[in-house]
Amino acid sequence: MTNELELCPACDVGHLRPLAKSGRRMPLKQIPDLEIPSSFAIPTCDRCDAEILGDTELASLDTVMKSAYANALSSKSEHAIRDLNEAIHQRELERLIGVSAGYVSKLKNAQAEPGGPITALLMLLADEPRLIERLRELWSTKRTFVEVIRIPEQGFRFGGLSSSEAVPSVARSEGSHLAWACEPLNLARLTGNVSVREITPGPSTSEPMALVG
Amino acid sequence: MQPHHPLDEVKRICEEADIELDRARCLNTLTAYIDLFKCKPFAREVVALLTLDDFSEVMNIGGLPYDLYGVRLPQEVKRRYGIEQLGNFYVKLRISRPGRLVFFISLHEMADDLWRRGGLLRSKDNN
Repeated sequence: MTNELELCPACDVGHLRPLAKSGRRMPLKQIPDLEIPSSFAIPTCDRCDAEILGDTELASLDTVMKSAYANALSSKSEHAIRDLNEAIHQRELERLIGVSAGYVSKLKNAQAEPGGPITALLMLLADEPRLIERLRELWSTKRTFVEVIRIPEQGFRFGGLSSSEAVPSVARSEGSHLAWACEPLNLARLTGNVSVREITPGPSTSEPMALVG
Repeated sequence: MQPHHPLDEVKRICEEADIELDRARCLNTLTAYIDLFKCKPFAREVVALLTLDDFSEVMNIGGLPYDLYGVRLPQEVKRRYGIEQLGNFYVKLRISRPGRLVFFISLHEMADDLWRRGGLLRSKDNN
């Protein structure tokens, strides 16, 4: 539809002229602010700044943004893999996330196009490398391992949350090994995903105590 | 109150002629969910579903009258476009070139409840 000097349908006063500029963004799938390439011209009203895409421009923008999206995933994957290098060997990473040998290397060197899910997983692991160990645990088909840690003056930690956030009943029982050891057991049973068979108190109250399931 | 732009004519243009969507205010709210090339067909389907009961008010934007509608989309339509998770839709449009072009300045999920001729439409239905 759009000729160079077509009347703007938004204001009926200005005219649409192709305008290429930087800083224009749009959401695409899970990326909320993907930049439209600065070289891409969009018919833009010279009075009200409305950007109106005709069928031809829409088709072109669709192609351009699909490419920008793929580039964004590749870039995010590459960065995540480089960040993960310090935390885990590449082959081990491949094994842990269940992809074929060499795939991570291909992603790192832009020889393969990552999808959204693998990119999301890599970004999360790179952002929080502790999750690597957690992922190893989660792959286990045995019951969940639960760790209870008592920290003097701070109460207890359970599953990464402080006692005030997660287990206030545990904090109240501080001071009694037996009592506070039992409270997590109750909580563990309540959560329904933990099987506890042994409680091993640490030599001092500041050391971790493990409930092994 | 009646729409400024006769709904029958809006529907006819959407079916037989051209439509345009403002990029910043329409496309940017749709492309998180719908492929770019499906946005116009989606807009046409939404208009085909509009009734006078969906009409809310005429809004003056930049000296031009736009008709505002709130519409509940059938699940089948939402499923086809992969937007089952979205609520009801807010539509603001005008006939820009008589007989030739309908221009959408808004087409997105409703952020707030909306009073229409047919009664109150919640932004999201209780399921």
